[in-house]
Amino acid sequence: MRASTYLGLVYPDLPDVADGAAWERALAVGMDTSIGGPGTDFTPNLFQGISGATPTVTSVDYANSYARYKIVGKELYVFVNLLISVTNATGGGCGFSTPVGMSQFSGNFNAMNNFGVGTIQRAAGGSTLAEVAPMNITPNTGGTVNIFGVIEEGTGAVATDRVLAWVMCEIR
Amino acid sequence: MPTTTNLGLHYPASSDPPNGPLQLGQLANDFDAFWGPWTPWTCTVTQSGSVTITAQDCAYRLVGKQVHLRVFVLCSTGGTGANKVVVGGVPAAVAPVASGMIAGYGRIYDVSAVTPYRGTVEFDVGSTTNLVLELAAGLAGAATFTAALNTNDLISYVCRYPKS
Repeated sequence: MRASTYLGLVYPDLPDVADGAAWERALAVGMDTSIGGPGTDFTPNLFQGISGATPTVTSVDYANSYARYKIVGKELYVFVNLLISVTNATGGGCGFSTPVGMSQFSGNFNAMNNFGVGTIQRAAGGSTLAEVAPMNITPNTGGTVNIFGVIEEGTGAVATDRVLAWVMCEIR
Repeated sequence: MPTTTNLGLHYPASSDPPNGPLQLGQLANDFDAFWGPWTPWTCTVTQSGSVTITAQDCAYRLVGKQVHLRVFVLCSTGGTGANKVVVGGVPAAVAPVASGMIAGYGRIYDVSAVTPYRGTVEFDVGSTTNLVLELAAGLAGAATFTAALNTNDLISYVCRYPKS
């Protein structure tokens, strides 16, 4: 059996013994999985301050978070919804990179920019209530995807915020 | 003929008699169906109370566990300011349920103020079918929209999200 380039769909090679039912079943299941499957959960594992009076993400409540990616051929979709705790939220930038699972595409994102949207929702109880900061989602120089946001300005707030991100892009 | 789990693609069982044209034709038609035309749907819009709308282009497509959705409506009666704008009645609920699940991006165009408000589109907290627009601080805050929707205001969203 051989496999197609983008979706990895299997099909018979010349030496294969004729078995139309098995071949068609393999093709149907391959399409079902590569195109229709639910995607893969992942655990974003890297948060980092990136500039200025850097906010520090002290913890991520993974039990109440959600992150999933789905690859269809050369297209990538990522949904992120993370509950985080932050200290020193005095106006600097804060971001995180997509998970290790994406590193297989290292180097492939360099030519792209702004292929998604996101927000950081400020929870009630911080220095500023329930605010939303827009984020830019850009590829890192090294090829992995970084999602950059700005924690809202405040004075030493300790807050439980939520980071939302939505990415839809072509994998080259 | 059995079918696959996500897309419902038909394929022959081992016990089925060989019939390549029929069986492959069925598989091809199944595959063709979900890449076919988008399906129109009717959404609802509320801002505290119901907002009368005229759909300009509202359509969706289901691809396995993914929902592709676009919303483009023209408002014709006003909403109530300082309340969130809710687009409801999506054709498939988001799953798994997650507070504020992000679904895409969108824009509300305030005609009288000649001002576009852009932001991420998310599922409302506690809802799997209602979409709200999150905007930058000072404009909307906690999913509320300062201005009241009024005649000829436009709402346009593009969404893609997982369903159960």
